[in-house]
Amino acid sequence: MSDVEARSRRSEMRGSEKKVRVTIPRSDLEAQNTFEVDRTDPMLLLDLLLAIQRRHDPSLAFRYSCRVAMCNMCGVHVDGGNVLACRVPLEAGRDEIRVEPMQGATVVRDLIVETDQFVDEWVQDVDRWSQ
Amino acid sequence: MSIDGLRTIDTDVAIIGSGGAGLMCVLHLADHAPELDATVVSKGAIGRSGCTRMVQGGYNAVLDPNDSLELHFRDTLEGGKYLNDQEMAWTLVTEAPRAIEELESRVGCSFDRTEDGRIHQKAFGGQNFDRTVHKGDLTGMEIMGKLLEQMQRIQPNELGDARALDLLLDEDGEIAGVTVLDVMTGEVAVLRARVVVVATGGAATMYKIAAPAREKTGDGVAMCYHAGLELRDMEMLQFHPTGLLAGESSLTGAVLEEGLRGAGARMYNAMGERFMKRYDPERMERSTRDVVSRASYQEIMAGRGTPAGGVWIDISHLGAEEVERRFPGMTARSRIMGRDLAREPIEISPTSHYHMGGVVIDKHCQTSVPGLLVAGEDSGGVHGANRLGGNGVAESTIFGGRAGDRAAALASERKLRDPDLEQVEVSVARAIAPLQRENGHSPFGITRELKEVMWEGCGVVRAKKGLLRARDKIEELEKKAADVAVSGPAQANYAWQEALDVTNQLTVARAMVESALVREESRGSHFRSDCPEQDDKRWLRFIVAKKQTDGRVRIDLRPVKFSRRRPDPADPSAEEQERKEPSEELRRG
Repeated sequence: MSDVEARSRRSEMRGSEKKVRVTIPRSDLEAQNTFEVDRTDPMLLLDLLLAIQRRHDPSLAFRYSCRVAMCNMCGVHVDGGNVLACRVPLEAGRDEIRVEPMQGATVVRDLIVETDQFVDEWVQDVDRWSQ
Repeated sequence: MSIDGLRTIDTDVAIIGSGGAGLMCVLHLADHAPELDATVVSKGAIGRSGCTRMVQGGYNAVLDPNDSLELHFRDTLEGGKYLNDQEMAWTLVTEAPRAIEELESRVGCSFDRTEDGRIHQKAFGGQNFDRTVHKGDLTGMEIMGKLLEQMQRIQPNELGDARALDLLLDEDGEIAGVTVLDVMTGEVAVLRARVVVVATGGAATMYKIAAPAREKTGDGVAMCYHAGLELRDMEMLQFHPTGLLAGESSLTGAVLEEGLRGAGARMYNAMGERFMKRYDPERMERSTRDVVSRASYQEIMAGRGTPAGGVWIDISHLGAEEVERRFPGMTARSRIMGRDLAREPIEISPTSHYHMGGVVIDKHCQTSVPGLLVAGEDSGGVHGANRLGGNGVAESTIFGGRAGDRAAALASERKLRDPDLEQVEVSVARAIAPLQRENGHSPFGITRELKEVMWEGCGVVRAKKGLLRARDKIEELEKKAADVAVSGPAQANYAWQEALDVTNQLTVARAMVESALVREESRGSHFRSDCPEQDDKRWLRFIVAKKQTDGRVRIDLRPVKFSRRRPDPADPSAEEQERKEPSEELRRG
């Protein structure tokens, strides 16, 4: 192993509890898609995204509103499931995560998806129910 | 009609905001004038932005025969330290019982009930009767969920993820419409309307520790201020005493509802002392929000706070099952951050929560601009110097409904007007400038600095020195904001939105600091350590802020009209106040 590789490995091991490597597929293929984010305690997935937007890449697009799991706007896809970013804490010791846009919907940009189809289905339900 | 190729949309009534006020407006408009075309404009997703949804506690209304309108009115005035507009406060109190009935039988809400089937009303701070209607600790979700379904049934035009930029007047100074920016596409359009209703909510987000949802950046108040409308009570910003402290997490500032204190929660400093006994020995933790916030703040400043800068709240003595049953939402939230409200004390801090101040309106939501209505947190006067818990969602829904009633009547009398072209050009240029600038300041840095200076200089406890520092800093930040640059596409660009948000927050902050400098006394949520006493002889007047043509804030003082109740019937100084000159003008920067 070269000196550079050895040094990289050492610094990786030293910092692994303090940083999380976050991978996010971007609409712009030229945009940064991997980030080394400092952990805070507590840290929700939403906090990871905010840290990236504020300190790494302001062009990262994602939605949120209330941040207390009341508005259902911050949906993302993580570990095989759609979750609310404001409801899921980053587990202790986890140093790597891939965050994708919610599955089953058309991507607008980065992590933002079209929600019209969900709303339309709901409106149809309301109509059907109130006939 | 097209302006430089800008898309123009025509509607009868434009409703800016889709919270409790905006959606009740849609409902009432549809009831009274279903033939009118309504368009809802919402910066975030329609019905899923803002704070009505986040209301935990409840909705105050006189329902019990042992309660009385006069008592609710008195509680509201005493909470507001008699700065309230009494006609508006009386409107709130008298309409609330009908509004609860409307929410249940017309909108479809169902509130918690007692065993004998009556609506359950719980205890809330600062009131002499338990009159807070609720659904568990998630009252706002019930109200917004059902309001949104009603709105879907009515099917107004929806401009979701679209932010209103500026109010547009025609050459006669009458309302013509608004410029609107589609957040997802990055395009600007002109929305013309016969009547415009502004209901976007306040700007409490401009503090380091803040409760509201991210959309609440004072857009409505800022656009009204820039259109020349008068604002009142801008110095009155409510801090909720029990906000979560969660380090740098976005959870910091989220509110633990007042019902906790109503149910017997105890507050402790880092020494394990129930410190409220030194601030309000009679009411203890059930005192009003301003008193409890100030108490916590003073404990923290005196060095008796936790290392993270907070105090403790503990309701575990009720038993874990009882806490889980009564406060499910909050218990779940505490567990997400690795704590447990049901079993241990939780670290809290005062958190910036609600703005009592706002646009001057009459009890029909009318402003000085014909055809322009304002409802909800964007308006000022109902709550005076401090809002009672449970009166906020009442105000939004009641006055939102009244705005709908008035808009229905006005729209048929008003025509569509052509907005002044120069205003349109200025609005569009200002909005797209950050995208076009190659180099400039980052909007996130400006927001961070504003939040810090407001917390330090115009926070729970204020003083002249800190306010002057805040004034200077705001001026510096306004210059930076005029030179902000964001990269990236126009589509779904939240750095760009942040730049537009912080511009509005700065406008509100400026009016707030100027008003706080003028009020040289302490009253309600405005507390000055350099003038800690309430001075009814000199200060039973409300502060009006208005934009001057040179861009500075003009301040007027107006006496409070005690049209229904005097602060102290036996106090002669109250009469003396009324006999003074009608208004006093002071020029301020």
